[in-house]
Amino acid sequence: MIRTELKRGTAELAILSVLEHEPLHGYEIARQIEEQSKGALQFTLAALYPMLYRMENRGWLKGAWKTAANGRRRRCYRLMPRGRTMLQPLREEWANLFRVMRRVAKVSHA
Amino acid sequence: MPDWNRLISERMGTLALPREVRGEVVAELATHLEELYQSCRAGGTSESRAIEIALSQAADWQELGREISDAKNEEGGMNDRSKQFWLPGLVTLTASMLWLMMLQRVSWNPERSSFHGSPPLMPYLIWLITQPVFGACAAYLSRRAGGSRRSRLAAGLFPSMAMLGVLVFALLTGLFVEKNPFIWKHPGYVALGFLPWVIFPAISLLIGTVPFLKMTKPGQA
Repeated sequence: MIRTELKRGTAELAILSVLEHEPLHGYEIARQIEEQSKGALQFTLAALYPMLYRMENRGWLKGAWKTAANGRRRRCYRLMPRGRTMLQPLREEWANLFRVMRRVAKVSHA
Repeated sequence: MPDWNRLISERMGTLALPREVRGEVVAELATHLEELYQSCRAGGTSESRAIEIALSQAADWQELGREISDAKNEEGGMNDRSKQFWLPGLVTLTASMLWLMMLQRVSWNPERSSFHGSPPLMPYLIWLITQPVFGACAAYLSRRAGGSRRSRLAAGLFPSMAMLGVLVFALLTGLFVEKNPFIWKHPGYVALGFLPWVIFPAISLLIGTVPFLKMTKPGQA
């Protein structure tokens, strides 16, 4: 299991990444991250929403209420151009970090 | 089915947010818990256990309320519109007006004036031909703050827009408050005042702004 501090650092990148292809509502964001990370990253509601609101305030995401076919209203988040611009540098930053950690701590791919 | 809105509101207490925003936050968290609850139920979990799992999504609901309030109220110093439009626009307007005042002050002091003996329009003309510099500065500041093309253009033309606002206000006040007979009799003549203070400066500002509309940082509009 990845440590909490590291999880926090990866959270923004994880959220931006799952929103890269389609808008999603909060529960679906958490579910997809958990599924794609095979359970290593788990977002509780308490961890997810303050982060989503911060990212929305920075103009990375935009939330809007949408009504699904079954009549259920959900707030969906879509990636804004500024958020898309942030994705690549964040990916590079993390790739660099892993490269360095591989050298320093002899960390290798699982 | 539990009333998630009520359960969340009771647990979070008061949020330092406007009533409407608070309602939206509670509704959004409620839909999340409802989805989780239904997913648990669909997996065969008992109702009481599913409610327990859903409510355990936050260890401290009041702390979550504070975190959400902080996140919602976080402006990061200045919001984007301020950085990309208002700040560059106001800085440029102030600089442009100070420059005009300086030119006029020098021209009105015959002992120190370098314009002594020159046509009375000279300070205005110098001010006008230097306007591209101000337009360029505003567009540059807007672009540096990540402004879109439209923001850069608006920031570059801000001094003219401000002058337009002032003139329209003065005109309406003259027409309907002071009921100035000259304005009523010669509206076309008065409208000519827009040329030197709005139209010509706008063209001049635009000349400086245009190069900064073309140059775009990667990922920007």
